[in-house]
Amino acid sequence: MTRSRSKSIPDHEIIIVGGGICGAAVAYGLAARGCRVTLIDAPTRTNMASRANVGLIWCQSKFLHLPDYARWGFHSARLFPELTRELQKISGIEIPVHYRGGIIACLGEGEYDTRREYIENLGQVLDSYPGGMISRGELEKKLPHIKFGKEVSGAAWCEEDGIIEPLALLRAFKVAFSKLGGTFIETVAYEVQPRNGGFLVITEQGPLNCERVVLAAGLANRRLARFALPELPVYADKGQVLLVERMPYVMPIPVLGVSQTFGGTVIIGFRHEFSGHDTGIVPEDVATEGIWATRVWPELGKKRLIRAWSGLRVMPEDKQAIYSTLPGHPRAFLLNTHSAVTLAAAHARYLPDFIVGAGLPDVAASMTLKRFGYDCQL
Amino acid sequence: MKNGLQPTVTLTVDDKEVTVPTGISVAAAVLGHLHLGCTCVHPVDKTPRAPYCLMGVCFECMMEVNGEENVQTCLVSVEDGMVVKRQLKVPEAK
Ligand SMILES: Cc1cc2nc3c(=O)[nH]c(=O)nc-3n(C[C@H](O)[C@H](O)[C@H](O)COP(=O)(O)OP(=O)(O)OC[C@H]3O[C@@H](n4cnc5c(N)ncnc54)[C@H](O)[C@@H]3O)c2cc1C
Ligand code: FES
Repeated sequence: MTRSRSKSIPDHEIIIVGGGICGAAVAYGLAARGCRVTLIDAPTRTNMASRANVGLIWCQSKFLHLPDYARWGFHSARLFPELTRELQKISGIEIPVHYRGGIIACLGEGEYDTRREYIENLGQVLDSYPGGMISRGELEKKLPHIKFGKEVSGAAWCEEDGIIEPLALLRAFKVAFSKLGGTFIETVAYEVQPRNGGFLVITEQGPLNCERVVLAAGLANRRLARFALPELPVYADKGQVLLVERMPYVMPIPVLGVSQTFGGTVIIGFRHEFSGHDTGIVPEDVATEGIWATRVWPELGKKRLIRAWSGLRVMPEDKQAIYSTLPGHPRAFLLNTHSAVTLAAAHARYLPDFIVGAGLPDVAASMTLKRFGYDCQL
Repeated sequence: MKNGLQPTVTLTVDDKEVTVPTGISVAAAVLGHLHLGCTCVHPVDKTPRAPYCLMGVCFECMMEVNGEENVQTCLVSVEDGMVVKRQLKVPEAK
């Protein structure tokens, strides 16, 4: 009985382990192109990034050292409007989103000059760059209902940035996935084992076998990929944020580090900390963020904090996304990126091709595990 | 406690006097004794709101208390002579 079963066709064509924003985007994209996909997800304590983030679609002022990765972000941002329209139609879920640009406020002349220099260099490396520096006066015109602190000297501006309600996006991906015939199983995956040319995913509800497996479990990928990769160079990068009480909506263009949500609350936070799986919130740490935010937008100092939370970003060692097959297993795929909200549109549109074996687009071709010295097939 | 009755305080809510047991929150006074319907409007979409969680989390119970705007009334105890107003206009952000 067992024997004939193991020889029969696997029960699942493609299993995606992890239904955060990365896994959900790819699951949706695969279902939309007609693949039979099973998405497995269950809450864990450490893999909460997709539920803890700010929802910025953020391309500007990043990755001078990784120009292809910077281009990939811009490319994703441009795919968002069509994707969100499509998702809203299929899922019936409204996704609050603005494509009106993004702002990095600078305090003092020093910060302004450093930022300007960085952006000038980035503009040269990328050939075209849809942004630049703006004066304090121009900043005030863009956000006329915010009274900026006196130290604010100006800002970096990029018209291709935006902000999306990240939980609505995640939910819309999942609902659209189910409506397109995808199977969702809420269960914990303990381990993945290669089996008869396919894979066995051992879950809380028993083993599931599949032809292709996609590991999109955030930090948990390190454990799940162990059958092929003793050490995945991905680290937990802790962010701690403060939430300020609701105010009238005055920030349709998000300001990095102090962004108003669609519900009127304001999320403050910019810290990056490498302290393993520690998810603690340290009052002294979040205080530095609050103090900075009131220097940018003094009105916040009069408002109440509702709560604070932390989240572990999923950070590859060299800060670049990893889209790869696993060494020796051309049908096992691993996806690990930070900024997976920004990249969600590119993931939904391009990674499905990769997973059915059609390779990565040129701009992402260097993002495999090969760069860490692993031998893996494209 | 006088004559076996529960001690009370009297406050004014939107110009209406109301006598309630001591020790309860302003939100409880408004919910349980006045039935005002809504007590504030959402700052973004202006929909009507009323106290919900009664433990300081949801921020749906904002009212004006003794001239101070935007007070979380589930966290404030009633006092004799207190003047409470519904907050049907949104305090401005600057
Ligand atoms: C504070 C903060 C702010 C951020 N702001 C932004 C932003 O503004 N813009 C942006 O683009 N990015 C932002 N990010 C980064 C972004 O949130 C992450 O890149 C993204 O959420 C990663 O998604 P993921 O799906 O790869 O991983 P995760 O979010 O970790 O999702 C993994 C999923 O897999 C599930 N899982 C894990 N292990 C198992 C298992 N064994 N079995 C079953 N299921 C499992 C988890 O429950 C989870 O649902 C922010 C991150 C933080 C922490
Ligand atoms: S009722 Fe929820 S905060 Fe007051």
